[in-house]
Amino acid sequence: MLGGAVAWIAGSFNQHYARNISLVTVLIGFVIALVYTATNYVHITTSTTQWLVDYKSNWIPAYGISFHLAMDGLSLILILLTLFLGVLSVLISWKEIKERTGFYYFNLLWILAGVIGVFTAVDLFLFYFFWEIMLIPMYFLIGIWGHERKIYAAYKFFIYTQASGLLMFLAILGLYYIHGKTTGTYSFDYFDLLGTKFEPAMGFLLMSGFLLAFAVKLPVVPLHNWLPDAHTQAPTAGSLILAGLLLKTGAYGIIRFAIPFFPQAAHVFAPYGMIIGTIGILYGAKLAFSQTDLKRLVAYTSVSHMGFVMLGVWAFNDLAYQGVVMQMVTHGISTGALFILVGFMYERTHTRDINSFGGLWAQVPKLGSMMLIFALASLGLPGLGNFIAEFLVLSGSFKANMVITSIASIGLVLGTIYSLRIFQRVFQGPKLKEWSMPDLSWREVIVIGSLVLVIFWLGFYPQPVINAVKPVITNVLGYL
Amino acid sequence: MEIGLTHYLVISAILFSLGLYGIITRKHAIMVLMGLELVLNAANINFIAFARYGGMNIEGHIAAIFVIILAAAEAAIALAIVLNIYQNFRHVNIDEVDDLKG
Amino acid sequence: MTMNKIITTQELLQLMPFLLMLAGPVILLVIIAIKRNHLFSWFFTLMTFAGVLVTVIANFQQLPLNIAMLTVDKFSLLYTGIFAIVGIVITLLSHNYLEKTSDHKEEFYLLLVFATLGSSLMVASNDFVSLFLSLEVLSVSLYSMIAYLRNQDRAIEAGLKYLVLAAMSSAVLLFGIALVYFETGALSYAAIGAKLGKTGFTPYLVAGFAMIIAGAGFKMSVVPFHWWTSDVYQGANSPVTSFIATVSKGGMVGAMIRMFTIIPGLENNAVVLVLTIIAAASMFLGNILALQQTNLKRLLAYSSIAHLGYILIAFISFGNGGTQAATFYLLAYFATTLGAFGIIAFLSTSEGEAENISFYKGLYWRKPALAAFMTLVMFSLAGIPLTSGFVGKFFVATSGVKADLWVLLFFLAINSVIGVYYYLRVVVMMFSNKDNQVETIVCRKGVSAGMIALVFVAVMILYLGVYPSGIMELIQKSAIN
Repeated sequence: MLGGAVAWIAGSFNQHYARNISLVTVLIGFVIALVYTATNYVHITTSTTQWLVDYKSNWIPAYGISFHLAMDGLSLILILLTLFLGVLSVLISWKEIKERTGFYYFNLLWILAGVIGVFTAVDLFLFYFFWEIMLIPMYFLIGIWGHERKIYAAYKFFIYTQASGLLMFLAILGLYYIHGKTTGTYSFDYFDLLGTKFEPAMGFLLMSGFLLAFAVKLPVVPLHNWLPDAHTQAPTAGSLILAGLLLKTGAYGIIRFAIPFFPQAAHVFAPYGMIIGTIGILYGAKLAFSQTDLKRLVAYTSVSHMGFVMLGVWAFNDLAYQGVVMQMVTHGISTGALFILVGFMYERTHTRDINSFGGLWAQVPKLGSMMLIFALASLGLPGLGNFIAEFLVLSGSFKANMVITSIASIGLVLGTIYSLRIFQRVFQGPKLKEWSMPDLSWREVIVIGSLVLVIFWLGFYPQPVINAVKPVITNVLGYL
Repeated sequence: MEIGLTHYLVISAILFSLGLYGIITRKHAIMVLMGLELVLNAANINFIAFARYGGMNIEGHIAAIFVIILAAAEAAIALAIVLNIYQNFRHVNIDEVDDLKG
Repeated sequence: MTMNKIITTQELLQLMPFLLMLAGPVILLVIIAIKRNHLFSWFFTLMTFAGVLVTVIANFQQLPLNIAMLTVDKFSLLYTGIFAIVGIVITLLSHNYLEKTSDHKEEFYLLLVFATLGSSLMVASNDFVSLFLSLEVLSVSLYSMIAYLRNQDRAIEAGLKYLVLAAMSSAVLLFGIALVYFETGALSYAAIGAKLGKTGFTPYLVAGFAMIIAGAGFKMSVVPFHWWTSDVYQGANSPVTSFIATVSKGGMVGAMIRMFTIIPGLENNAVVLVLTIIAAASMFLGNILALQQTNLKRLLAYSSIAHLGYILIAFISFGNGGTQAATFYLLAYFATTLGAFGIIAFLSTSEGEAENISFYKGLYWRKPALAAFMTLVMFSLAGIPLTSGFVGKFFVATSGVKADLWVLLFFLAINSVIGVYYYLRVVVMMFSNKDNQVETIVCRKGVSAGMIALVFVAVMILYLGVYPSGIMELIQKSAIN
């Protein structure tokens, strides 16, 4: 949370400074968060209370709005992820962004601040506030520094998220009002609003408001339309942040808000949620397979991976939830890495067309091996983080619903196909064209290398993450 | 026949409609302004009739006097604008004053 | 009515804000007759508004005063104060603009002050006669302000259009008042309210109120009384347009709030239904028409129709904090609109107004500060957090929720999305590349009065967006009764 404050304040002053300052800022934030985690690790994993840090001050008291931030294990993990990817996104923009750098980094830091805000806000008004805050700079990021069809993609992204966000806002207001009418105190505070009683129909309606916003962000299949465009057109760092962080806010929202607020409605919705998740897994995988644009391909793998999250979230048991959190983290790492790698290739060749590559292994072995690692991670090879995540999700949801889960596991097979296809088409086979490609530079090695380390670490020893979120999961499941 | 409230109201209603009709159909700016005057005076007749027959108070008269003053003020400004239109366009046909569209 | 009563010094002091606005232009008129001096007139007007502001603040804690069909209470003083601030901003903007465009500049300011007086008095009116009078003071000043640049065809045309339609709407309003008078035998709000409590609504009364709403709706430019808006916005010069969009509309909203607080008109379902339909139609039609505009002033005109629709939502949810929400939204909207027209006025030259959206193409790369400001304004209009527009919408939505107006709120959400689309178009335009850009913006270097105004407006937008509590408390304290 301190990191959030630092990044936010620095972000607002950073307008006219260059990349160095933003790197330092995010790095400081990251180190602070890391040190905090390291020193309080025992406390985090063993404490019985869910909340680690709690900060509250009045904002608009007349309407029961306060500036209320709180952090638990889940937020902490996600903040660490945010700042980690934040550092990387600054590093990878080092050379890619050549013009208007000041404004670029300003936007980048604002997104990070917004995302951290979303992960820590426990006042619904504040939550919505941050939710919107992170959209605007993202919009600029895509719209100004994006690729050929950037304006269209930026619009689509913004309209989708804005529309769903407003419906969530209405739902928040509805919740606020119903709570106020039954108890007499009007408040937007998360803790006050928990346990509000509704008529079933009303509860379901309000939950759909929340769910819609989160589902667009996640994205869940019928609402995923914006994602491929936004991912494809965004600059590399934009894609990284979109895939690594913004998608996670959707999942986070469901776990933190949608389910605890509306347990009854959630139970009704659960089987449908799982079905939708499964459709997402299969549909995303199928589309990923048929793409020729590398970035678009990776974008559709996100849809597929997020299907697992959707599946796990509605299974309502510890195993699945641990899997969901793991999936959020590992997907952030692995898909982020894939985007970065594709970005590197784009920087060198100025094309993302899969058909124009081929046989590049001999020329760029480092790039190729990195790509192989993350392609394997993405398909869920044991030993890499994604395997743990998907395995946990599937075994968790298997308990909840056998049929759907069995169908969902086909997604793993499909994942193998599309992941290997990337690697095979780009790095093996006949050379279709000559590219003058230098291999990875030291900066790029640092970026990718750190991601490799993390993904291996999560694959072999995921316990710290799982321990950190255990109290949270117990708590969330307690509301049901 | 005793002349009562109804008669006044009918007159004022007729005046109101005529004025409105004039504003909508006339092309000549001055005619439109005359239509406006009719509408305002229709309201005035109402006020005075209500004050007289409603067995009410003096307030209606006050309102009517104010309206007369304001109608005069409005007519002054309106004629000034029409004069300007004449200077700029060399006619006062308001159907042909239509630069603004969209 | 307070007849045969000598005004005491105390009362005179309480009336000071209004008297100043009356005396200021009269003195200015005399001075102009003796010697013309643009800078002096400009400065004198600024001082007049400043004086109004000071007297408003000085009188704010006084007990309400009912005098000669006017009520001077916190509510009217709050509005008067806001109008004075808006007046200052517009005056600041006008100087540069008039210097560039007009050959006779001085009289503009006295019309500005008179119009502001009209608006302030409208809010203070507690009687239909004074309401009508002050409305006309506002309207008549506006006619000449719109047609002020008398050698421009468009300005004259806009002036005539506004005149014909405004006069007609006043006449309709007057007819409505007459009907209400017929039923209740009274013209003061209090007497009518008391009478209503006894007799309830009769068909005549409903018809009367419908006509009053129509007349008021014209001033507020809500559907279906909005026909003049786009033409007048485009035809009038930018400072005047910003005045119409802010003070003129605000005065009517304030007057309606007072009227419906004393006269329980909103207890009648027919009246509420009419207002609901108007609100919904305004939101949809305003936004949909705005989508198609390529002229920024027309775009803002249609968007203002939609914004007034939002305000009506708050207005309909009257007792549930709705009036406060409406006032706050109005304030937020003032700041934003002033910003938008301020930019247009700032960038306009003697050759024409900076009103085509394509004019703003690539503005960011030429004038980053102005573009950033415009972005802020557009975001505020779109209702994006950190800006006043967002908080305003939030208050409106909250009051709507409390009054169970779910359908209207749903419309509000849909319309916000439509709105985002066209506001973003302007933003995108500014950030797009500057290739094939021929025009260059001529802009005076250094600090100018307009610049100060714009900075002030930007600060207001952010202040209201980040920390609305202070203003909201003030508004709540100023509620009628």
